[in-house]
Amino acid sequence: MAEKTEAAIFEKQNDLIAATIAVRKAGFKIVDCYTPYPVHGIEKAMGIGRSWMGWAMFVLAMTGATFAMGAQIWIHAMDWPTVYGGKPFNSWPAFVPITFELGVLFAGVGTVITLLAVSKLWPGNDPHDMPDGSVVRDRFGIVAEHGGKPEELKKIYTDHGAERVL
Amino acid sequence: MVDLEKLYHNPMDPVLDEEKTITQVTEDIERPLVGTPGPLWWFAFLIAAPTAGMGTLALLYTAFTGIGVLGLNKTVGWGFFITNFVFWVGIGHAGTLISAILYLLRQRWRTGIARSAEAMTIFAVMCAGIYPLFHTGRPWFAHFMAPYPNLMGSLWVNFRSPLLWDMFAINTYLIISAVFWYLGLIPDLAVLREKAVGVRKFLLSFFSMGWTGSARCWNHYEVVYLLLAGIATPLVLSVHSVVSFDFATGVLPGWHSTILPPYFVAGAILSGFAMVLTLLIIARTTMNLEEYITKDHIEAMCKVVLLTGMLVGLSYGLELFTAWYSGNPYERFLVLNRSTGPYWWAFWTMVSCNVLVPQLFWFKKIRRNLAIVWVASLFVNVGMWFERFVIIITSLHRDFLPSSWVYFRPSLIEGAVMVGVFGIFFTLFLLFCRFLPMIAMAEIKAEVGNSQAAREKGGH
Repeated sequence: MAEKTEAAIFEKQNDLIAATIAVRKAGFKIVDCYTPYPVHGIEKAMGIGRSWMGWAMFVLAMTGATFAMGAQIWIHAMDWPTVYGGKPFNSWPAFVPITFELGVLFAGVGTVITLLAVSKLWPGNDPHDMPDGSVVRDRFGIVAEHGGKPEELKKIYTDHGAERVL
Repeated sequence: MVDLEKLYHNPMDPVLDEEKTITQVTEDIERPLVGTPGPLWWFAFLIAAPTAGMGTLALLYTAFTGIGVLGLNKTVGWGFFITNFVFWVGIGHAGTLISAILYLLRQRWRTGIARSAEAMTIFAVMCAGIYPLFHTGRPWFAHFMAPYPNLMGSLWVNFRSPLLWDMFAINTYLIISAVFWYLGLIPDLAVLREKAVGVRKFLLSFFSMGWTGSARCWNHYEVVYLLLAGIATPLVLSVHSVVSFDFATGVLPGWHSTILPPYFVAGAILSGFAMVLTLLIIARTTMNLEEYITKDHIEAMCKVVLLTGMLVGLSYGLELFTAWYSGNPYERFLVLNRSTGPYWWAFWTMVSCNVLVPQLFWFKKIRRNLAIVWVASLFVNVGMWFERFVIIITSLHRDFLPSSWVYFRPSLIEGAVMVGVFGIFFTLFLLFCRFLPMIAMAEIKAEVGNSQAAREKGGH
């Protein structure tokens, strides 16, 4: 991997964004940018689309809610019907609070697990993709494939004020 | 085009007192975590930890002897344990309110206090959970509350019972709050990982999950954070509503009332913010974070306390009015008995601490005087504890049959558990201050960095 790519570290986020735009314009493929916080406008510069996590959460919430309502109806109206307080077996309005809670639980926990899986994060994993330790603190990193023209790519980095080219 | 300059420098919208670079922010927040803790921290810890130990012993004594050691009797079947349970769940509301609702409302001052308030929420909900668990008398059968196929039929739990709703609500709230908190912590743990050595390095690497700060990851991360805030908002409102159903679906005067859910939620926010004030006024000094948890933060929280204090006052008034207007003799008796009966002192403590004390916060000078705010926040904590006490005990102690009327007195063990659980809470919070970043570093850096970048861009 390292032979095919060139990395650079920037001190300012604006320089990173400018460099990212230039690198893409010159036809290089950006592997990723690394920033200590979500930088406004970087996704546009890199050309990544809107995250689809919202849809994941919607599906998970519906799964949780359907499971909860289904389980409660099955338990109280089919598996073991019992009369409580003269209510009908399928007294679904009483099942709404738990349906809501389980919908939220599935959505929240499930979406975070999806995020971790998609971002390849798991306990004990090594941050091996990271170009330099400083990018989680106060520097901005970029990694791009040089496609056989490493000098050209490095020049774009230095022209845009890279602090270090790795 | 949005005027970023204006957006990031709204005087009503303070994040930091002065300009800092993101490098300075990182170092400032890291500092209390790498040195040795100061004498004030040790002083607090050496009080909190033994108290927590005493509470644990008292809980074990209760579990092994039976709940006969509590001051409960046939008339007052819910005593100190349930009072404290509702109190702690209420405290647990401020964290998610600050981190989720204020996030959605774009109250950017929340950034500095969100992390510690979330931690407080998690610890408070854990403390709350202790009480119903031990109040069952046989905590080792706690799994009976969960619906699982069993050899007794299978015999299921009753999903129509508000007590079961409560179990689901509290557990969901605990899990979602913890997930929300942990998700925010991952980037900050990665920062600490880079300079750590030895066991610390191993632990931080393990829990930061190989975080690299990848822009593709941030893109998903920001959406997930926003969505979690979105689902945590109805959740936080639902939790105390469900707790109030434990009472509101009963037929006792004083409990059987439709005002209870909003009344409980307003009270929960009041008590939660009071507890955040109590903790943070101390923590900002001991951890040298005055530049991050500023007087503007304290002032903003005081305003929330003032508002919710008046909402709670309105609820008290509505209870009185409804009792009179309903013409129901039991309700009328209850209201008179609460305010003039044997527990009059508890009722008036509640009213003065929750409604009168917050009125001080009309004055800006008082809102910015930390000593007064701190003392007032203690009064509100006491008042909100008494609110739970008044709701539970005064509704129970006068049964429908005068022959069952009693005066509830807590036993020594109940007192020890109550004090001990406060010890557990403070111990956990002190450990959090010592070992984890109290301020959401990445969020502060996003505020600072993005605003500086916007200004530089404008200047060229």
